Amino acid sequence: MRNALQRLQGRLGVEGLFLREGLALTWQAFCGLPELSKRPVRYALFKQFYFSGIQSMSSVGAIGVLSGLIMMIQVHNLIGQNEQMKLHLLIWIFVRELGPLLAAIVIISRSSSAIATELAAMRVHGEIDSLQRLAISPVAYLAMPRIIGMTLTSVALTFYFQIVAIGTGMVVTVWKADVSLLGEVSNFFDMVSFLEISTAFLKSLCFGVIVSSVSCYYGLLIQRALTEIPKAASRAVMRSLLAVFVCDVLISMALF
Amino acid sequence: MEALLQFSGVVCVEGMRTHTFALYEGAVRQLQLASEEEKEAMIDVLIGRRKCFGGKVTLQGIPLPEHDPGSIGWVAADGGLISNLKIWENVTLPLWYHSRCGEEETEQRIRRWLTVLDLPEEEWKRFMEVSPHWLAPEQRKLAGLLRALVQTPPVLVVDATLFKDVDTQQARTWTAALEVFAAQERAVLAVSDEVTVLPWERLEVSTG
Repeated sequence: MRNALQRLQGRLGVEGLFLREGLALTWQAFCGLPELSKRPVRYALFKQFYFSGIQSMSSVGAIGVLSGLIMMIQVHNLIGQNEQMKLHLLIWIFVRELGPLLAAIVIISRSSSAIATELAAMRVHGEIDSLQRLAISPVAYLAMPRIIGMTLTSVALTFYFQIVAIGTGMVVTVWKADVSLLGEVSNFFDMVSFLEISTAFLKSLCFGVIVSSVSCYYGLLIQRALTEIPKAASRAVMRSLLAVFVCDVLISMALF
Repeated sequence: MEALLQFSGVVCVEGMRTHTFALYEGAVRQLQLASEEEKEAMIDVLIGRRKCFGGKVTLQGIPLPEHDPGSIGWVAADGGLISNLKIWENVTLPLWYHSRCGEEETEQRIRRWLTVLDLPEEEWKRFMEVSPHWLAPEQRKLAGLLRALVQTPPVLVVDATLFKDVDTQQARTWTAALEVFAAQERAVLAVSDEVTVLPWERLEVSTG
């Protein structure tokens, strides 16, 4: 019994440390925003936009088309020709919930492990020590551009995913129910509320900050051993997923 | 004459000996320490990454912590390059991070130092465009040295292991380049933990 309590206490201690240090890293990164005036930091940010944003567009687009198709085929089979209900479901599923969540999952699977592995390898090979000896802050030069870059690309990719998924859903509706596409679009804008759009924005912003901070935290945290690199990548992915779901529940509970 | 870099009773590793020495403009000196741990600690204190346990370090008469970061340059034993940056990005990284040097001036500086380092133009154009893992260890060291020279800090700290396993002719060119650097009202300090064949005078260190 005492052992179990001690384990629980130890576990909570580790979680507390993760939360505290993760938040401290995020805070330091945002405090380092003025460093963007330096050319190498700006280049690092542009590279992050390219790797997390531009290179993810095809996979996010493909998943958007497929989820739009799956969702509307299932919805059509369940509720038949009720166009109003279909549009409501599209909004509930893709604007409120699945849009930010699926975009975050694509970002996690693509960029989270990549960032954690890259930073962990830099730590193992002594490159972070090299940066510090050149008086270059690893938080300002490595973490901040990644956190800002991933957060902004998370917002952009979420909206891109939603446009593709909802657009596909509408095309399927038009094809199955023989209604006009322009009418569907106009009905959609009548139905969607400001709260739903701002929730999607808030979620994607929070998910971006969480995923990038957790990935940088695990990448920078490791000891100098090669065996730590895969552990850092795996922890970054699992922790990011868990944190994103917890954040999603909290935002949904608070706003709906 | 005021010392460019002054160590007064500095303790780098707790419980170990104190160091007192001065480095003047135009000087290229070597400093031999007792162990690798002491060498690493000394480098960290010199570049302001670690606080000393006792004593005072001044640069141009002002305490080192009061200077802007990057006031003392560093050349790593293996070049200390960042693997996800191309060589030209590595070379310009500390210069562009710590100053607002324009592209044209940066290019002029690089061109000038590559001439001193005896690298033909066709070769350096190719050299600059690749990632560090494509280079031989000696070329990585050269890129690390070039990075520090281009940054042009008042004092350059060189890990003397840089010259280990380097072709004699190449080592001679590099030492000559460091002497040219020091002659521009700057100073170079090579730190080692073993006897080296470097041609420079040993620093007179009073220890306690």
